[in-house]
Amino acid sequence: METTGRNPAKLIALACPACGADLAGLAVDRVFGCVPCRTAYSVETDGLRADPLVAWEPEEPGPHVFLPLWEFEVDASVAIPGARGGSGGAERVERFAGPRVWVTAFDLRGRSRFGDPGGNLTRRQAELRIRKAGRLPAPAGARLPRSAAGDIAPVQVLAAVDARVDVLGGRVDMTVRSVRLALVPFVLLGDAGVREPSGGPAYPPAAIPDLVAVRRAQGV
Amino acid sequence: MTARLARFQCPTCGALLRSDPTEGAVPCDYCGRRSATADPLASSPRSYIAPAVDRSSAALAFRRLLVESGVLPASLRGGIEPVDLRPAWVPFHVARAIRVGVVERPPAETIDFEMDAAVESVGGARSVSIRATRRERPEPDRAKVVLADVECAVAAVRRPGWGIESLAPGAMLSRGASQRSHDPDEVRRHGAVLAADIGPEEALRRLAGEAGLSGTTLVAPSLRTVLVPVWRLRYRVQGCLYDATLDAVEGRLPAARAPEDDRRRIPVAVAYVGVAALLFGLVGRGTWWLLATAGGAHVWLAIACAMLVLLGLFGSYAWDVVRYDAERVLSGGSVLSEYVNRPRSTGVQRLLESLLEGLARAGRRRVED
Repeated sequence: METTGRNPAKLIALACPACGADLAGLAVDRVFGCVPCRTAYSVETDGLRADPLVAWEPEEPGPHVFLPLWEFEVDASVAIPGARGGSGGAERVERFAGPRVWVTAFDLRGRSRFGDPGGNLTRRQAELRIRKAGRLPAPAGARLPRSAAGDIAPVQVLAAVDARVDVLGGRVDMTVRSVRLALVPFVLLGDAGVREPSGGPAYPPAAIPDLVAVRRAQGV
Repeated sequence: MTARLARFQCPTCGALLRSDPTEGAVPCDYCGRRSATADPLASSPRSYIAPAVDRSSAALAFRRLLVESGVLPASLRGGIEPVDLRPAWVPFHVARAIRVGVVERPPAETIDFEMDAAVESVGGARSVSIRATRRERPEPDRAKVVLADVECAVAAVRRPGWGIESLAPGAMLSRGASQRSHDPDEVRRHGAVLAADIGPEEALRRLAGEAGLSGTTLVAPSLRTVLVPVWRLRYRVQGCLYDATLDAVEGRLPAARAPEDDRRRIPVAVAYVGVAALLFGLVGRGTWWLLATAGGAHVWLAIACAMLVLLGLFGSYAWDVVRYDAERVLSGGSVLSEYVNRPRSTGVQRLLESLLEGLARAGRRRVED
């Protein structure tokens, strides 16, 4: 039997580097939050990576559960190549109309069946008000670290620019102006799951395995 | 087997961590601060699928399913004597990632035609002319933006004869089984967790292989361990011990082994010999016709060889049935018959093989000549 005296995996203390407070989040999360500092910390291979943490103000009545999504403010354009085969064609450059790209940070199952809140919010360019005053809800359920969200954001831009099911693909030129982790208020539908804000689609509990744990963490 | 023991220290106070940080963020018993592994693939949070079949239900289900599945002959139904019924957890490595990118789709194979029909009257007669022209259409879009979840589960243990390959945690969950986060006490109450002898990198490797589409990449790969509960029954039939596995979530029987009914041996052997005799007779009757039309020594030789092959084939079947004990094995949803202690090839088979080989050699020589 082999024993090792040192840590085979590097451990990172989940304490806010700014204020020293314990970071909030579920045990399985990869992004934790410091509520007093309003900062989200992604656990990356080289340590903690800080990004602003915000919560959106609920606009609809009813109990809400705040699910985390990455929100990128970008300047982006997509260069779509012309038709292939036959005569070819000139490259068409389309500008991404909206300033925001959303990437779902919580564990989402059945993306192709139930839909993706990140994609929906990117297409709709939902305008929500940031909660300025008061305490933030406890961040919980953020599984996707910032670096991985950065890999997904260009694909969301591509899908939003050409909303057809079939597109010719293309090259995304994207300049990221700012990134933050947004706690988005989803309307709680009891045992039927949650509904996206501003009249978006509903997601059953099976689509969000961490829903019960997030509700417990936020006291909903 | 070499087990690797790791000692984890709290990065804040240096105390030894009692909980396993590879299962997620864990608190230090001394300072209370939580810590997490920096490498997402170094952590593999455990969860388990709640068992739905208790001990008494499992015992009843085994008796019923052994007969229903056809693995235990109905005549031996009353002869089962349970020896041991043990619960166990089978660990599965589940790798998960998001596949992103653009995937090229093959071009559509359809050809469109435009049909023009014209009716003309010439004299009193009417003629209809139809003209078909290929319709030009723009090149169809041939790519699709992909943003999809991919998942791959691999059993972390090798247990031949357990039927583990037919257990699928993902399918169980999609059919309504409930998954719970790891609770050591609850898990221990059901049974022992089988020691893993396959690493989680196998699941990651297979996931990368499945998602091997050009233009896509796997983002945010993660690992988790899912424990699937099973019941393992050892039972005695006709003085011999046999094992069977019962899936403790859905009550299915993935693997079982039972003896063949000995009383069937002689009738089956007689049936084989009977079929051989019937074919022998049929071939013999056809011989007169062949001799009448073709004649010659080579026809006689061919007929004699065919008869010998038939007799040898069915004779070897009959010999196997009489000579060797047989067992029925349930694996992958089908029941197969296996001879116990039977050599890879019996004497009759070796004789047949050498005869066929000799014939083939003779044929080749004739072609060469």
